[in-house]
Amino acid sequence: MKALCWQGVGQLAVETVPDPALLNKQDVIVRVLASSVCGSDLHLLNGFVPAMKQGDVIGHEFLGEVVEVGSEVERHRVGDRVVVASPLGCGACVHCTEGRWSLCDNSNPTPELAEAVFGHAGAGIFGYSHAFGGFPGSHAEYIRVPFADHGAFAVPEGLSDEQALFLSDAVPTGWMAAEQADAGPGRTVAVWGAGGVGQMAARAAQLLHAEEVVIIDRVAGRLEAAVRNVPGVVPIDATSEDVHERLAELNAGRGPDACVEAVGMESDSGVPQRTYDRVKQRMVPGTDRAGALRQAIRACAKGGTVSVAGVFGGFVDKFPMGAVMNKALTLRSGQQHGQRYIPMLIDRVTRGELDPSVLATHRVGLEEGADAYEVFSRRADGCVRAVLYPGR
Amino acid sequence: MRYRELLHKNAPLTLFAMSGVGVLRALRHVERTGPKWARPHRGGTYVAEINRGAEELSADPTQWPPVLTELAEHAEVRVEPTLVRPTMCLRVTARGGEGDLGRQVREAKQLLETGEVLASPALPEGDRR
Repeated sequence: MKALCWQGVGQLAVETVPDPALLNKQDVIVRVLASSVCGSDLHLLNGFVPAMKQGDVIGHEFLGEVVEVGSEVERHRVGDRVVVASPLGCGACVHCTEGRWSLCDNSNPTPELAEAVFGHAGAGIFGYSHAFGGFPGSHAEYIRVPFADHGAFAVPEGLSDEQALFLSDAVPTGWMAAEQADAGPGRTVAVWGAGGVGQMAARAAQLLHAEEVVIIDRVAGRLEAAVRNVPGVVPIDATSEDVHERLAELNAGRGPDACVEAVGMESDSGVPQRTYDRVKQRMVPGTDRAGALRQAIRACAKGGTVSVAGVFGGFVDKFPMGAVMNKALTLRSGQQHGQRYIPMLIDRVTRGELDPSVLATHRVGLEEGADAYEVFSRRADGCVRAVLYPGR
Repeated sequence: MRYRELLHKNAPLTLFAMSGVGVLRALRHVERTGPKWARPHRGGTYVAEINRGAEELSADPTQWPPVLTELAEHAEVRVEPTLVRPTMCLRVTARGGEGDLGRQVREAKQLLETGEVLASPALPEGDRR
Protein backbone atom coordinates (compact mmCIF):
# COMPACT_ATOMS: atom_id res chain seq x y z
CA MET A 1 0.00 0.00 0.00
CA LYS A 2 0.99 3.66 -0.28
CA ALA A 3 1.87 5.63 2.84
CA LEU A 4 3.36 9.00 3.72
CA CYS A 5 6.64 8.24 5.47
CA TRP A 6 9.12 10.24 7.54
CA GLN A 7 12.46 10.27 5.75
CA GLY A 8 14.48 12.51 8.01
CA VAL A 9 14.19 15.98 9.52
CA GLY A 10 11.85 18.02 7.32
CA GLN A 11 11.48 15.25 4.75
CA LEU A 12 8.37 13.26 3.89
CA ALA A 13 7.75 11.00 0.91
CA VAL A 14 5.07 8.62 -0.29
CA GLU A 15 6.38 5.07 -0.33
CA THR A 16 5.10 1.59 -0.90
CA VAL A 17 5.05 -0.25 2.45
CA PRO A 18 3.69 -3.68 3.46
CA ASP A 19 -0.06 -3.84 4.06
CA PRO A 20 -0.99 -4.10 7.74
CA ALA A 21 -2.21 -7.47 9.01
CA LEU A 22 -4.18 -8.63 12.04
CA LEU A 23 -1.51 -9.36 14.67
CA ASN A 24 -3.69 -9.54 17.78
CA LYS A 25 -7.17 -10.89 18.40
CA GLN A 26 -8.48 -7.45 19.36
CA ASP A 27 -7.24 -5.77 16.15
CA VAL A 28 -9.20 -4.46 13.22
CA ILE A 29 -7.80 -3.30 9.89
CA VAL A 30 -9.24 0.00 8.74
CA ARG A 31 -9.22 1.42 5.21
CA VAL A 32 -8.40 5.06 5.81
CA LEU A 33 -11.04 7.38 4.35
CA ALA A 34 -9.57 10.63 5.71
CA SER A 35 -6.55 11.50 7.82
CA SER A 36 -5.64 14.95 9.09
CA VAL A 37 -2.34 16.71 9.62
CA CYS A 38 -1.84 17.86 13.21
CA GLY A 39 0.45 20.41 14.83
CA SER A 40 2.12 17.66 16.85
CA ASP A 41 3.18 15.95 13.59
CA LEU A 42 5.34 19.01 12.99
CA HIS A 43 7.37 18.22 16.13
CA LEU A 44 8.11 14.77 14.65
CA LEU A 45 8.76 16.22 11.21
CA ASN A 46 11.07 18.91 12.55
CA GLY A 47 13.18 16.41 14.48
CA PHE A 48 12.23 17.42 18.03
CA VAL A 49 11.19 13.88 18.89
CA PRO A 50 14.33 11.74 18.71
CA ALA A 51 12.64 8.36 18.42
CA MET A 52 11.68 8.58 14.75
CA LYS A 53 13.15 6.14 12.24
CA GLN A 54 13.41 6.49 8.51
CA GLY A 55 10.33 4.96 6.90
CA ASP A 56 7.95 5.55 9.83
CA VAL A 57 4.38 6.25 8.68
CA ILE A 58 3.04 9.38 10.39
CA GLY A 59 -0.52 10.57 11.10
CA HIS A 60 -2.74 9.93 14.10
CA GLU A 61 -6.09 11.63 13.42
CA PHE A 62 -8.25 9.52 11.14
CA LEU A 63 -11.49 7.96 10.14
CA GLY A 64 -12.04 4.91 8.00
CA GLU A 65 -13.95 1.79 7.12
CA VAL A 66 -13.38 -1.55 8.86
CA VAL A 67 -12.19 -4.14 6.35
CA GLU A 68 -10.93 -6.96 8.62
CA VAL A 69 -11.85 -7.92 12.16
CA GLY A 70 -9.87 -9.89 14.78
CA SER A 71 -11.44 -12.92 16.43
CA GLU A 72 -12.10 -11.22 19.78
CA VAL A 73 -13.54 -7.96 18.43
CA GLU A 74 -17.19 -7.64 19.46
CA ARG A 75 -18.28 -4.09 18.66
CA HIS A 76 -17.27 -3.81 15.01
CA ARG A 77 -18.11 -5.51 11.75
CA VAL A 78 -16.63 -5.28 8.27
CA GLY A 79 -18.05 -2.18 6.56
CA ASP A 80 -18.47 -0.08 9.74
CA ARG A 81 -17.37 3.54 9.40
CA VAL A 82 -15.30 4.33 12.47
CA VAL A 83 -13.41 7.22 13.98
CA VAL A 84 -10.41 6.12 16.04
CA ALA A 85 -8.94 7.75 19.15
CA SER A 86 -5.29 8.60 18.54
CA PRO A 87 -3.96 7.04 21.78
CA LEU A 88 -4.37 3.29 22.21
CA GLY A 89 -6.02 1.98 25.36
CA CYS A 90 -6.32 -1.66 26.45
CA GLY A 91 -9.44 -1.07 28.53
CA ALA A 92 -8.16 -3.39 31.26
CA CYS A 93 -5.32 -1.70 33.15
CA VAL A 94 -5.99 0.56 36.09
CA HIS A 95 -5.52 3.75 34.06
CA CYS A 96 -7.98 2.74 31.34
CA THR A 97 -10.58 1.57 33.85
CA GLU A 98 -10.32 4.92 35.62
CA GLY A 99 -10.70 6.87 32.34
CA ARG A 100 -7.07 7.93 31.87
CA TRP A 101 -6.77 6.16 28.54
CA SER A 102 -3.67 7.94 27.24
CA LEU A 103 -1.76 6.58 30.22
CA CYS A 104 -2.55 2.94 29.37
CA ASP A 105 -0.03 0.50 30.81
CA ASN A 106 -0.41 -2.10 28.07
CA SER A 107 -0.52 -0.33 24.72
CA ASN A 108 3.07 0.81 24.35
CA PRO A 109 5.26 -2.16 23.37
CA THR A 110 8.41 -0.02 23.30
CA PRO A 111 8.28 1.94 26.56
CA GLU A 112 12.00 2.00 27.33
CA LEU A 113 12.83 5.43 25.91
CA ALA A 114 9.80 7.13 27.47
CA GLU A 115 10.57 5.46 30.80
CA ALA A 116 14.13 6.75 30.66
CA VAL A 117 13.06 10.33 29.86
CA PHE A 118 9.71 10.68 31.66
CA GLY A 119 10.03 8.07 34.44
CA HIS A 120 7.03 6.13 33.11
CA ALA A 121 5.73 5.50 29.61
CA GLY A 122 2.36 6.70 28.33
CA ALA A 123 0.07 4.82 25.99
CA GLY A 124 0.99 3.96 22.45
CA ILE A 125 -0.13 6.54 19.89
CA PHE A 126 -0.58 5.95 16.16
CA GLY A 127 2.24 7.35 14.02
CA TYR A 128 3.90 9.11 16.92
CA SER A 129 7.47 7.80 17.12
CA HIS A 130 8.97 4.76 18.79
CA ALA A 131 8.75 6.40 22.21
CA PHE A 132 4.99 5.90 21.85
CA GLY A 133 5.02 2.34 20.55
CA GLY A 134 6.22 2.78 16.97
CA PHE A 135 2.71 2.17 15.59
CA PRO A 136 2.42 2.96 11.87
CA GLY A 137 0.30 6.08 11.37
CA SER A 138 -2.81 6.90 9.42
CA HIS A 139 -1.41 8.74 6.41
CA ALA A 140 -1.73 5.46 4.55
CA GLU A 141 -4.31 3.47 2.66
CA TYR A 142 -4.79 1.02 5.53
CA ILE A 143 -4.00 0.93 9.25
CA ARG A 144 -4.05 -1.72 11.97
CA VAL A 145 -6.07 -0.64 15.02
CA PRO A 146 -5.29 -2.68 18.17
CA PHE A 147 -7.82 -2.78 21.06
CA ALA A 148 -10.48 -1.80 18.52
CA ASP A 149 -13.44 -2.39 20.84
CA HIS A 150 -12.13 0.41 23.03
CA GLY A 151 -10.54 2.85 20.57
CA ALA A 152 -12.75 2.74 17.46
CA PHE A 153 -16.21 4.34 17.49
CA ALA A 154 -18.96 3.85 14.93
CA VAL A 155 -19.87 7.08 13.15
CA PRO A 156 -23.63 7.73 12.87
CA GLU A 157 -24.93 7.96 9.32
CA GLY A 158 -25.93 11.60 9.62
CA LEU A 159 -22.35 12.77 10.20
CA SER A 160 -20.04 13.58 7.29
CA ASP A 161 -16.47 12.28 7.21
CA GLU A 162 -15.09 15.72 8.06
CA GLN A 163 -17.51 16.23 10.94
CA ALA A 164 -16.35 12.95 12.46
CA LEU A 165 -12.65 13.04 11.51
CA PHE A 166 -11.53 15.57 14.11
CA LEU A 167 -13.25 13.61 16.90
CA SER A 168 -10.17 11.40 16.67
CA ASP A 169 -7.88 14.01 18.23
CA ALA A 170 -8.42 17.79 17.89
CA VAL A 171 -11.90 17.86 19.44
CA PRO A 172 -11.26 15.61 22.47
CA THR A 173 -7.91 17.34 23.04
CA GLY A 174 -9.62 20.74 23.07
CA TRP A 175 -12.48 19.47 25.23
CA MET A 176 -10.16 17.86 27.75
CA ALA A 177 -8.05 21.01 27.91
CA ALA A 178 -11.10 23.18 28.66
CA GLU A 179 -12.42 20.68 31.18
CA GLN A 180 -9.06 20.42 32.94
CA ALA A 181 -8.85 24.23 33.04
CA ASP A 182 -12.15 24.17 34.98
CA ALA A 183 -13.80 26.29 32.29
CA GLY A 184 -17.30 26.96 33.54
CA PRO A 185 -19.82 29.57 34.67
CA GLY A 186 -18.29 32.82 35.88
CA ARG A 187 -14.83 31.97 34.57
CA THR A 188 -12.83 33.83 31.95
CA VAL A 189 -11.00 31.39 29.71
CA ALA A 190 -7.97 32.35 27.61
CA VAL A 191 -6.71 29.98 24.93
CA TRP A 192 -3.21 30.33 23.50
CA GLY A 193 -3.09 29.05 19.91
CA ALA A 194 -5.90 29.43 17.37
CA GLY A 195 -5.18 26.20 15.50
CA GLY A 196 -7.50 23.20 15.44
CA VAL A 197 -7.07 22.27 19.11
CA GLY A 198 -7.23 25.90 20.28
CA GLN A 199 -10.46 26.56 18.38
CA MET A 200 -12.02 23.39 19.74
CA ALA A 201 -10.89 24.27 23.28
CA ALA A 202 -12.52 27.69 22.89
CA ARG A 203 -15.77 26.13 21.65
CA ALA A 204 -15.65 23.58 24.49
CA ALA A 205 -15.24 26.41 27.00
CA GLN A 206 -18.35 28.06 25.56
CA LEU A 207 -20.30 24.81 25.78
CA LEU A 208 -19.15 24.47 29.39
CA HIS A 209 -20.75 27.91 29.98
CA ALA A 210 -17.60 29.97 30.52
CA GLU A 211 -18.39 33.65 30.96
CA GLU A 212 -15.89 34.91 28.39
CA VAL A 213 -13.56 33.11 26.01
CA VAL A 214 -10.46 34.77 24.59
CA ILE A 215 -8.15 33.32 21.94
CA ILE A 216 -4.57 34.46 21.35
CA ASP A 217 -2.34 33.87 18.34
CA ARG A 218 0.36 35.51 16.27
CA VAL A 219 -1.13 34.52 12.90
CA ALA A 220 -3.86 36.90 11.74
CA GLY A 221 -5.44 34.30 9.44
CA ARG A 222 -5.86 31.86 12.29
CA LEU A 223 -7.47 34.49 14.52
CA GLU A 224 -9.89 35.34 11.71
CA ALA A 225 -10.73 31.64 11.36
CA ALA A 226 -11.27 31.36 15.13
CA VAL A 227 -13.65 34.33 15.15
CA ARG A 228 -15.53 32.82 12.20
CA ASN A 229 -15.65 29.27 13.59
CA VAL A 230 -16.25 30.07 17.25
CA PRO A 231 -18.67 33.02 17.27
CA GLY A 232 -18.43 35.15 20.39
CA VAL A 233 -14.75 34.47 21.05
CA VAL A 234 -12.55 37.53 21.70
CA PRO A 235 -9.36 37.52 19.57
CA ILE A 236 -6.00 38.94 20.71
CA ASP A 237 -3.23 39.36 18.16
CA ALA A 238 0.01 38.78 20.06
CA THR A 239 2.07 40.51 17.36
CA SER A 240 0.34 43.87 17.75
CA GLU A 241 -1.19 43.84 21.24
CA ASP A 242 0.22 43.44 24.73
CA VAL A 243 -1.39 40.14 25.69
CA HIS A 244 -0.99 40.61 29.44
CA GLU A 245 -2.54 44.09 29.37
CA ARG A 246 -5.42 43.09 27.10
CA LEU A 247 -6.27 40.11 29.29
CA ALA A 248 -6.13 42.25 32.40
CA GLU A 249 -8.38 44.83 30.72
CA LEU A 250 -10.99 42.21 29.91
CA ASN A 251 -11.72 41.28 33.51
CA ALA A 252 -10.80 44.15 35.76
CA GLY A 253 -7.14 43.31 36.10
CA ARG A 254 -7.73 39.85 37.50
CA GLY A 255 -6.46 37.95 34.48
CA PRO A 256 -8.06 34.81 33.05
CA ASP A 257 -9.10 32.22 35.63
CA ALA A 258 -8.56 29.39 33.19
CA CYS A 259 -5.71 29.34 30.68
CA VAL A 260 -5.39 26.75 27.94
CA GLU A 261 -2.04 26.37 26.25
CA ALA A 262 -2.65 24.85 22.80
CA VAL A 263 0.69 25.68 21.18
CA GLY A 264 3.33 23.27 22.50
CA MET A 265 7.04 22.88 22.13
CA GLU A 266 7.56 25.04 19.03
CA SER A 267 6.01 28.22 20.30
CA ASP A 268 6.73 31.31 18.26
CA SER A 269 7.60 34.32 20.43
CA GLY A 270 9.06 37.70 19.56
CA VAL A 271 12.37 37.68 17.66
CA PRO A 272 14.84 37.90 20.63
CA GLN A 273 13.05 35.24 22.70
CA ARG A 274 12.56 33.02 19.66
CA THR A 275 16.22 33.24 18.70
CA TYR A 276 17.34 32.52 22.25
CA ASP A 277 14.98 29.53 22.55
CA ARG A 278 16.01 28.18 19.16
CA VAL A 279 19.70 28.28 20.07
CA LYS A 280 18.95 26.41 23.30
CA GLN A 281 16.80 23.92 21.42
CA ARG A 282 19.63 23.18 19.01
CA MET A 283 22.23 22.91 21.75
CA VAL A 284 19.89 20.85 23.97
CA PRO A 285 19.86 22.67 27.37
CA GLY A 286 16.18 23.36 26.67
CA THR A 287 14.52 21.09 24.13
CA ASP A 288 11.14 22.83 24.06
CA ARG A 289 10.32 26.44 23.14
CA ALA A 290 7.72 27.39 25.71
CA GLY A 291 6.92 31.04 24.96
CA ALA A 292 3.13 30.58 25.08
CA LEU A 293 3.27 28.51 28.25
CA ARG A 294 5.36 31.14 30.03
CA GLN A 295 2.92 33.84 28.93
CA ALA A 296 -0.09 31.79 30.08
CA ILE A 297 1.42 31.23 33.51
CA ARG A 298 2.26 34.90 33.88
CA ALA A 299 -1.19 36.07 32.73
CA CYS A 300 -3.22 33.53 34.70
CA ALA A 301 -5.30 34.92 37.58
CA LYS A 302 -4.25 34.16 41.14
CA GLY A 303 -5.55 30.74 42.11
CA GLY A 304 -6.29 29.97 38.46
CA THR A 305 -5.64 26.90 36.36
CA VAL A 306 -3.27 26.45 33.44
CA SER A 307 -4.20 23.51 31.25
CA VAL A 308 -1.53 22.40 28.80
CA ALA A 309 -2.87 20.73 25.65
CA GLY A 310 0.11 21.65 23.44
CA VAL A 311 2.63 18.85 23.12
CA PHE A 312 5.93 19.06 25.00
CA GLY A 313 8.58 16.40 24.67
CA GLY A 314 11.54 17.24 26.82
CA PHE A 315 12.78 20.06 28.97
CA VAL A 316 11.75 23.68 29.32
CA ASP A 317 14.26 26.32 30.28
CA LYS A 318 13.21 29.40 32.30
CA PHE A 319 10.03 27.74 33.49
CA PRO A 320 8.29 30.31 35.74
CA MET A 321 7.85 28.07 38.76
CA GLY A 322 7.87 31.12 41.00
CA ALA A 323 4.64 32.34 39.41
CA VAL A 324 3.05 28.90 39.70
CA MET A 325 3.92 28.72 43.39
CA ASN A 326 3.27 32.28 44.51
CA LYS A 327 0.00 32.67 42.59
CA ALA A 328 -1.15 29.22 43.77
CA LEU A 329 -1.78 28.07 40.21
CA THR A 330 -2.94 24.61 39.26
CA LEU A 331 -1.10 23.10 36.31
CA ARG A 332 -2.81 20.27 34.44
CA SER A 333 -1.86 18.46 31.27
CA GLY A 334 -1.86 15.17 29.38
CA GLN A 335 -2.38 13.55 26.02
CA GLN A 336 -6.11 13.37 25.37
CA HIS A 337 -8.21 10.51 26.75
CA GLY A 338 -10.23 10.19 23.54
CA GLN A 339 -11.98 6.98 24.55
CA ARG A 340 -13.57 8.86 27.46
CA TYR A 341 -14.80 11.82 25.41
CA ILE A 342 -15.59 10.59 21.88
CA PRO A 343 -19.07 9.09 22.56
CA MET A 344 -20.20 12.33 24.27
CA LEU A 345 -18.67 14.43 21.48
CA ILE A 346 -20.37 12.36 18.76
CA ASP A 347 -23.69 13.18 20.47
CA ARG A 348 -22.85 16.87 20.62
CA VAL A 349 -21.86 16.99 16.94
CA THR A 350 -25.02 15.06 16.02
CA ARG A 351 -27.11 17.61 17.96
CA GLY A 352 -25.35 20.45 16.10
CA GLU A 353 -23.68 21.98 19.18
CA LEU A 354 -20.28 21.57 17.62
CA ASP A 355 -19.13 21.41 14.00
CA PRO A 356 -15.50 20.29 13.78
CA SER A 357 -15.61 20.16 9.97
CA VAL A 358 -14.86 23.91 9.96
CA LEU A 359 -11.24 23.03 10.77
CA ALA A 360 -10.69 21.40 7.36
CA THR A 361 -9.29 24.13 5.16
CA HIS A 362 -7.31 22.07 2.64
CA ARG A 363 -8.06 18.71 1.02
CA VAL A 364 -5.44 16.68 -0.84
CA GLY A 365 -4.58 13.14 -1.91
CA LEU A 366 -1.86 11.13 -0.20
CA GLU A 367 0.62 11.99 -2.96
CA GLU A 368 0.31 15.71 -2.09
CA GLY A 369 0.80 15.01 1.63
CA ALA A 370 4.30 16.46 1.85
CA ASP A 371 3.12 19.68 0.15
CA ALA A 372 0.18 19.86 2.56
CA TYR A 373 2.58 19.72 5.51
CA GLU A 374 4.66 22.46 3.94
CA VAL A 375 1.61 24.76 3.68
CA PHE A 376 0.43 23.74 7.17
CA SER A 377 3.81 24.36 8.80
CA ARG A 378 4.01 27.88 7.32
CA ARG A 379 0.38 28.54 8.33
CA ALA A 380 0.09 29.74 4.73
CA ASP A 381 -3.06 30.15 2.68
CA GLY A 382 -5.26 30.24 5.81
CA CYS A 383 -4.42 26.62 6.58
CA VAL A 384 -5.83 25.33 9.87
CA ARG A 385 -5.97 21.62 9.03
CA ALA A 386 -5.17 19.83 5.76
CA VAL A 387 -7.06 16.58 5.27
CA LEU A 388 -5.42 13.75 3.34
CA TYR A 389 -7.74 11.49 1.35
CA PRO A 390 -5.77 8.32 0.50
CA GLY A 391 -8.44 7.17 -1.94
CA ARG A 392 -8.35 10.38 -3.95
CA MET B 1 38.01 39.07 22.90
CA ARG B 2 35.52 38.39 25.66
CA TYR B 3 34.09 35.45 23.74
CA ARG B 4 37.56 34.03 23.19
CA GLU B 5 38.28 34.31 26.91
CA LEU B 6 35.00 32.64 27.75
CA LEU B 7 35.75 29.86 25.30
CA HIS B 8 39.20 29.46 26.79
CA LYS B 9 37.85 29.32 30.35
CA ASN B 10 35.22 26.75 29.42
CA ALA B 11 37.51 24.57 27.31
CA PRO B 12 38.36 22.07 30.10
CA LEU B 13 34.68 21.69 30.97
CA THR B 14 33.75 21.18 27.30
CA LEU B 15 36.53 18.61 26.85
CA PHE B 16 35.43 16.80 30.03
CA ALA B 17 31.78 16.71 28.86
CA MET B 18 32.77 15.56 25.38
CA SER B 19 34.96 12.77 26.72
CA GLY B 20 32.08 11.70 28.98
CA VAL B 21 29.78 11.47 25.99
CA GLY B 22 32.44 9.48 24.13
CA VAL B 23 32.84 6.99 27.00
CA LEU B 24 29.05 6.54 27.28
CA ARG B 25 28.72 5.91 23.56
CA ALA B 26 31.53 3.35 23.68
CA LEU B 27 29.83 1.56 26.60
CA ARG B 28 26.50 1.50 24.76
CA HIS B 29 28.25 0.05 21.71
CA VAL B 30 29.84 -2.72 23.81
CA GLU B 31 26.45 -3.41 25.44
CA ARG B 32 24.89 -3.98 22.05
CA THR B 33 27.62 -5.71 20.11
CA GLY B 34 30.36 -6.76 22.54
CA PRO B 35 31.14 -10.24 23.91
CA LYS B 36 28.44 -11.87 26.03
CA TRP B 37 30.30 -11.32 29.30
CA ALA B 38 30.39 -7.57 28.65
CA ARG B 39 26.66 -7.23 28.02
CA PRO B 40 24.52 -6.09 30.96
CA HIS B 41 22.71 -8.66 33.03
CA ARG B 42 19.06 -7.79 32.61
CA GLY B 43 17.95 -9.37 35.89
CA GLY B 44 17.02 -7.30 38.90
CA THR B 45 13.73 -6.57 40.59
CA TYR B 46 10.68 -5.65 38.55
CA VAL B 47 7.28 -4.80 39.92
CA ALA B 48 4.05 -4.52 37.96
CA GLU B 49 0.61 -3.48 39.13
CA ILE B 50 -2.03 -5.92 37.93
CA ASN B 51 -5.59 -4.67 37.73
CA ARG B 52 -7.04 -7.88 39.14
CA GLY B 53 -8.51 -8.48 42.57
CA ALA B 54 -7.36 -11.11 45.07
CA GLU B 55 -10.38 -13.24 44.19
CA GLU B 56 -9.19 -13.38 40.57
CA LEU B 57 -5.48 -13.94 41.06
CA SER B 58 -4.31 -15.84 44.10
CA ALA B 59 -1.07 -15.25 45.95
CA ASP B 60 -0.81 -19.03 46.20
CA PRO B 61 1.66 -20.28 43.52
CA THR B 62 -0.27 -23.52 43.07
CA GLN B 63 -3.20 -21.53 41.71
CA TRP B 64 -1.29 -19.23 39.40
CA PRO B 65 -2.05 -19.04 35.68
CA PRO B 66 0.62 -20.52 33.36
CA VAL B 67 2.26 -17.17 32.62
CA LEU B 68 3.26 -16.66 36.26
CA THR B 69 4.27 -20.30 36.70
CA GLU B 70 6.58 -19.94 33.70
CA LEU B 71 8.01 -16.71 35.05
CA ALA B 72 8.61 -18.38 38.41
CA GLU B 73 10.71 -21.07 36.73
CA HIS B 74 13.61 -18.65 36.35
CA ALA B 75 12.82 -15.79 38.72
CA GLU B 76 11.59 -15.39 42.27
CA VAL B 77 7.95 -14.28 41.90
CA ARG B 78 5.63 -12.87 44.56
CA VAL B 79 1.97 -11.83 44.27
CA GLU B 80 0.49 -9.50 46.91
CA PRO B 81 -2.02 -6.64 47.26
CA THR B 82 -0.77 -3.22 46.21
CA LEU B 83 -0.28 -0.59 48.88
CA VAL B 84 -2.16 2.09 46.94
CA ARG B 85 -5.20 0.09 45.86
CA PRO B 86 -5.14 -2.92 48.16
CA THR B 87 -8.67 -4.07 47.43
CA MET B 88 -8.46 -3.61 43.71
CA CYS B 89 -5.00 -4.42 42.44
CA LEU B 90 -2.26 -6.91 43.01
CA ARG B 91 1.40 -6.43 42.48
CA VAL B 92 3.66 -8.98 40.95
CA THR B 93 7.29 -8.75 41.96
CA ALA B 94 9.90 -10.71 40.05
CA ARG B 95 13.49 -10.86 41.24
CA GLY B 96 16.65 -12.32 39.68
CA GLY B 97 15.89 -14.17 36.48
CA GLU B 98 17.49 -14.46 33.11
CA GLY B 99 17.21 -12.41 29.96
CA ASP B 100 15.17 -9.23 29.84
CA LEU B 101 13.15 -9.72 33.04
CA GLY B 102 11.56 -6.29 32.72
CA ARG B 103 10.02 -7.21 29.38
CA GLN B 104 8.89 -10.61 30.73
CA VAL B 105 7.11 -8.97 33.67
CA ARG B 106 5.51 -6.38 31.37
CA GLU B 107 4.27 -9.11 29.04
CA ALA B 108 2.95 -11.17 31.97
CA LYS B 109 1.00 -8.12 33.12
CA GLN B 110 -0.44 -7.65 29.61
CA LEU B 111 -1.46 -11.30 29.42
CA LEU B 112 -3.11 -11.19 32.83
CA GLU B 113 -4.98 -7.96 32.10
CA THR B 114 -5.84 -8.12 28.41
CA GLY B 115 -5.49 -11.79 27.55
CA GLU B 116 -2.72 -11.32 24.99
CA VAL B 117 0.61 -9.62 24.41
CA LEU B 118 0.36 -6.67 22.06
CA ALA B 119 2.42 -7.44 18.98
CA SER B 120 5.21 -4.97 18.38
CA PRO B 121 4.20 -3.11 15.25
CA ALA B 122 7.66 -1.98 14.23
CA LEU B 123 8.86 -3.61 11.07
CA PRO B 124 12.35 -5.09 10.98
CA GLU B 125 14.87 -2.49 9.88
CA GLY B 126 15.52 -4.32 6.62
CA ASP B 127 11.85 -4.15 5.62
CA ARG B 128 11.45 -0.48 6.20
CA ARG B 129 11.93 0.63 2.62
